Amino acid sequence: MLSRACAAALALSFVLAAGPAHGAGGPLPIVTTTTDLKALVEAVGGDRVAVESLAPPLVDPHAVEVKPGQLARLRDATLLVRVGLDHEPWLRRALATVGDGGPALGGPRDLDASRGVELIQTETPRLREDRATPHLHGFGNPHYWLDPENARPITAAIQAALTRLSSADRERFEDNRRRFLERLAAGLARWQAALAPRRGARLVAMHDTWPYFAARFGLTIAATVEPTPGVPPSPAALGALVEQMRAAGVRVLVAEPYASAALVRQVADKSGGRAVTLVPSVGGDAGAGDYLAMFDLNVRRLADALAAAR
Amino acid sequence: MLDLLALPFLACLILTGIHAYLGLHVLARGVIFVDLALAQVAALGLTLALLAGHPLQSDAAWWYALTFAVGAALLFAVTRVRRAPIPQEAIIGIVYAVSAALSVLVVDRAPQGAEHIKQLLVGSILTVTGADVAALALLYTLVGAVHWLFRRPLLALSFGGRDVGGPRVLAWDALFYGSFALVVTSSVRVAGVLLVFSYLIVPALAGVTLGGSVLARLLIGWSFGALVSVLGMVASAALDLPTGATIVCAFGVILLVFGLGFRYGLVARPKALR
Repeated sequence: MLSRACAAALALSFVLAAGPAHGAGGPLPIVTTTTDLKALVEAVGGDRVAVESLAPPLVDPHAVEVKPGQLARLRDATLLVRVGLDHEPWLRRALATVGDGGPALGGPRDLDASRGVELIQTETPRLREDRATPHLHGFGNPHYWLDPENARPITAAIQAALTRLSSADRERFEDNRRRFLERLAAGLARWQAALAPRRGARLVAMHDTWPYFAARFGLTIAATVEPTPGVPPSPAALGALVEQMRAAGVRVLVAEPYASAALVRQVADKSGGRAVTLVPSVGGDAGAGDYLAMFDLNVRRLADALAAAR
Repeated sequence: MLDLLALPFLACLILTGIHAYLGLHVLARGVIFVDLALAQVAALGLTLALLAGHPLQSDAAWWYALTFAVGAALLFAVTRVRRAPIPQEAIIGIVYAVSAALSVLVVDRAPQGAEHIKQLLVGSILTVTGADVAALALLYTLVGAVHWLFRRPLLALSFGGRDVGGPRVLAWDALFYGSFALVVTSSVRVAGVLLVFSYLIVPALAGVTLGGSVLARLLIGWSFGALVSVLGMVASAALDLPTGATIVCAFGVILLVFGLGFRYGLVARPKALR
């Protein structure tokens, strides 16, 4: 009976594995590591691409668990678009599992979106100045998609890669990108206007996610509460931070949706500051359904918080 | 997609092979959570290796992890012999909590990359490589051979019956816990803590419930583990769920089905329980 069950199960999985084939005329199967890159690929590719993000929004990049169907789609992808730097420690293993049939890092089917972006070496002042070796991202801060200007070089690279894959669609990709950049420019004007009155404002962030965003809009991240993810600050460090926030007049604390709610509340309460949750990834909030909507949401929330905290 | 599941399935069968056997010992000794404690101590070793400047993938880091796990294993062996007036599960729990907390304190001091430990500690069965499977197969064949060679004292110590006597107990216990630490450290790197715990306890539990002799229990445990591996893999592929977590849940579901079957007499109750 056991062997029969096994045979039936294997037959079932074989049927399921067959799946729909990608014909020559169908959309290009593309895999991205994050929902943000998925949104940007879709902005350029339109209906000529079928994009899947391997990581869901807001998941800790060190805890991504790839699923069997995703591995199969990674192998079949005509293009892999990734954040690069040290943001996807799980990707190397997934690619090794997929083997020679899949994209290879640095190969023709791999697009590292960080190329062409001007990176910030994260030199945010640390909570604990005395630490000999503060936590640093080895290759620069990887959250570069949170500067909307960086969508220009990223989509340029995506457009070039898509055109290489499907030269017949060259004009369509050009048009799509141009329309996206027009909407982006309009958005930037809108966001700059909303945050212009708060230029020079000092913020404290829970994690080191926002340096690109802050630099674009003329804001300063004065300190980071949890420099090492998952390691809460010591009582002394917390006390020093609260003192620092009071002395410097920092009134707004920026938290990610996954930040420890208890710690956020504690820092906000003790410093008299106001906590605001900003969404670092497309799809991380119902109001952040695409790349531009994510900035609309974040700018509105931040502008409101800075206005209320004055 | 089937070819992508071939290596993970092979790895699951290898895990079943060694863990169903060690699980019988663990159940008989009543040290259910010993593997969680050892995995946590191994993680502490990895963290310290990082602090000492060794990359996590290096051999040096693995030796750190193994040394720490074997150290804790020896501690468990000693506390059993001493017959301290506290249950061994208490010591295991304390070792787990303190080593987990120590890891947090050490990570705080470590340079960049410390959070990668979580990824390394919780391996992913789906992305197992051919080299991983070959290394596991070789290592566990050796461990199995040692246990076969010394089966009389090792089985006697776990399952009672014959007294092996005096100071030798410490040596045999050290061999048992030492080999156990080696297996757990290696398995967790490939399959993650949850999956390794499930392979250790559930097939052995099925074996103990249904079988009388150690051999019968082992055969039942192996069949049960293989069956659940197949079902878990297929469910993971069909429903596109994370493979490790799906297998762990499959263990729970199948165990529940068997339990309800016994309860309502749908499955013949084994003689031992009548």
